[in-house]
Amino acid sequence: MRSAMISTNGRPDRRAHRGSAILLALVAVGVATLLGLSLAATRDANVAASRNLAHAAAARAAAAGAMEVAVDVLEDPSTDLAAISKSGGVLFEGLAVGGASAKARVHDLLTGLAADDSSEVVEIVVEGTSSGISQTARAVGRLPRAPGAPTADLDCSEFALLATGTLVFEGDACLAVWSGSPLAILAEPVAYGLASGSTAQIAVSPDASLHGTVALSIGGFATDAEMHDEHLADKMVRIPAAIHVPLAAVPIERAAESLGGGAADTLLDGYIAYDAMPEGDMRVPARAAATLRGVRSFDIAGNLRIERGAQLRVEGETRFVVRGNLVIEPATVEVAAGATLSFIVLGDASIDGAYVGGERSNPEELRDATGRAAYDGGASRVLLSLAGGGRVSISEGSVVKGEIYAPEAAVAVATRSAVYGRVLGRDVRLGAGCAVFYDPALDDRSGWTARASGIWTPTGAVRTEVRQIARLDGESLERFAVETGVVPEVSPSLGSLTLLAIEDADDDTRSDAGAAGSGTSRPRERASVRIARGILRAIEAQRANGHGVFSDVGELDRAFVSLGFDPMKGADE
Amino acid sequence: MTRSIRGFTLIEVVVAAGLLSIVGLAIVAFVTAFARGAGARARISDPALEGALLVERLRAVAPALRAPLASDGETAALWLSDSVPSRTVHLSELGWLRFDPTMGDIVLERVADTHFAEDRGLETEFEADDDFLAIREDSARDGLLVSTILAEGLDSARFVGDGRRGADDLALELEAERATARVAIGPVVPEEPLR
Repeated sequence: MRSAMISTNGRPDRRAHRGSAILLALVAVGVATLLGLSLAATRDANVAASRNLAHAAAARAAAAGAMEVAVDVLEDPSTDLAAISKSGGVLFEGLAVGGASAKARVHDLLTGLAADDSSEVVEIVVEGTSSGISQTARAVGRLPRAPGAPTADLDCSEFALLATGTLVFEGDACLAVWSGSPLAILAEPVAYGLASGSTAQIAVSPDASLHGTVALSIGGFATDAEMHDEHLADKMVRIPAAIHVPLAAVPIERAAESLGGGAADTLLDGYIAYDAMPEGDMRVPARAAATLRGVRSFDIAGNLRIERGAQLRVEGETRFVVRGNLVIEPATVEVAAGATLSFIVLGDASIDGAYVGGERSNPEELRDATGRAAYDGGASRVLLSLAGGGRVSISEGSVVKGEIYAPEAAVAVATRSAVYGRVLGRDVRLGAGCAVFYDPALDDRSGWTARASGIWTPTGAVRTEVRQIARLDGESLERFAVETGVVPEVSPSLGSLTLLAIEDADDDTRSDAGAAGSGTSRPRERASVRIARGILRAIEAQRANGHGVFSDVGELDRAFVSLGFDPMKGADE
Repeated sequence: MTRSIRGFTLIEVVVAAGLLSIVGLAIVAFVTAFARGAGARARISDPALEGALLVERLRAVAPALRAPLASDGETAALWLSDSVPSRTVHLSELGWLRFDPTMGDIVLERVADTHFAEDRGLETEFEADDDFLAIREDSARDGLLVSTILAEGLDSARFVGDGRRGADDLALELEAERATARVAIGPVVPEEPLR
């Protein structure tokens, strides 16, 4: 090889090197070109970031502007929420705002589904997009009611704690919102107090935690946002008149002919798909597992005892009428999704070391009295109603997710127990280490604190018919509806109780009441139809007489609350 | 004359000139790109950009930011929300913006939510004239604070307020690479995007 490049005279042959310089130069050019191009292609981070910020600002402005449009659309009574539901909750899409576009969706906060005409609290999600960069704005709020019959929440479910006698917070007792509720995001104050509006009979320990709560007092309604803020800063919710608390519905008398047919004592164990009317007690034995299916009704002449270690699961609409005492030992009572459980107790109720509430989605939750328990359907699945002047005791670390309605009874929550829901009683005592976590879903803004509710006349006085409701039974509610044209609203569980009296009136024979396997759907349907017809008649009469139907929700109830913006998407930050 | 002392042909000269041009251009592109890259790297710490990003991140962390409460130049106390509905300041609603000179970061410090769940008595309501900066010191001493970085790569930062628009008027002056910028922390536009 070397010899080939040496000439015969011993000097290097130049022809042998011809072309090598070009090759080297080409290599150098290639390398330099690659280096130059690769580095030249390096993006200037400053320019990119500035561009991102500019587009993010445009997208943000579009989202903010479109949010205003969305709120206006939703506040328009003519907006067809049913049509929006059919479109998957899309309020509008492709709305041009400057150089950006915006899309708005609205969904029901409670169900998480697209909002429809039954939605009361919604979240608006608006996405503004500019050159691939999007900003999402969110706001939540209560929808204004569509024009129609005014409503009146008569069971005082807007109050976390309401007493007709005395109210005591001991030690480090806590009253707060149930943080697991989807509506907790509304950040509405939790109301408590005495029905009289007096604060004199409320004893609050210095260590009690009442942050974010307001006490009921007598005064004028807040008429604007500034006054509302003043009341909030004073930790007060003011209404012009004292509250009238109807007594709980009383179950019908046991039919004489049924007394002989009922079993003396009854055990609940295994799958239960029949009704029962025992003359004696009813028990869920210790460590037994009972599942109640379908629409079930149990009328117990004696006591109902759910014994230690028992597990009771409710899969349908179940009602226990307990004419003696209710005793729940350290046991578990869970109500499946879509089911409800009502205890109507004429004696005392004692819940010691038990869990009573919605079926727990988190198996590790056990009895969580910290306020962080999962929502699992909320408080409306369980109702404990005392129809007499007995006593409700919730103790030994018990957790109840439900409503307690006992206007004539003393209610004591003790020894690190917690109620997720609400408590109404004559004398209510919240012990040290105990808590009530209010479920805002119980408040449909048609109660005593809502100026526009059917409880109040247009002049701001309480309707006289409201104070004439002695008990929350079907007869009283029907009469109220017919006389006023106002739709009475009660909690779903209480609603089923209100039908008791009507069932009695409509179906005197009730021959199958105590028979195993008898259902209660037919009388219930008749009662519902009767109430509805009465309300419709009253409303039509009002309209015929030229009286307008007032259902306008006040400005304060209409406000949406901003949740701000999500982190921007699509930006090369 | 022999072939060994013969000059370059015209074609060789043209080719050589072309190659030189290409190489020259590549070198110029290389040097330019390198210079731009170095500049860009320096401008990552552009205080104006960091300030804008800080505001964006603060809005994301505290969308319902209500008002600045106090500042001593190095630390600012903010009322992040009225999540405990009362129109008064609670411990769970407080945050502190602070410049960390060792890291060159601006951090938002808050009391971790887990502490409130563990101790119901921890929640505290404050009066308007309370010392909100001392509250931070107490919380830090008790190990309650968690931090979120909102800006980084800064040489210095300080909070300033001219007092002409009320107590909630607060701005943050940032410095990096001998450049300065100023972003407004308050007054806060309430409830954006709802106006």
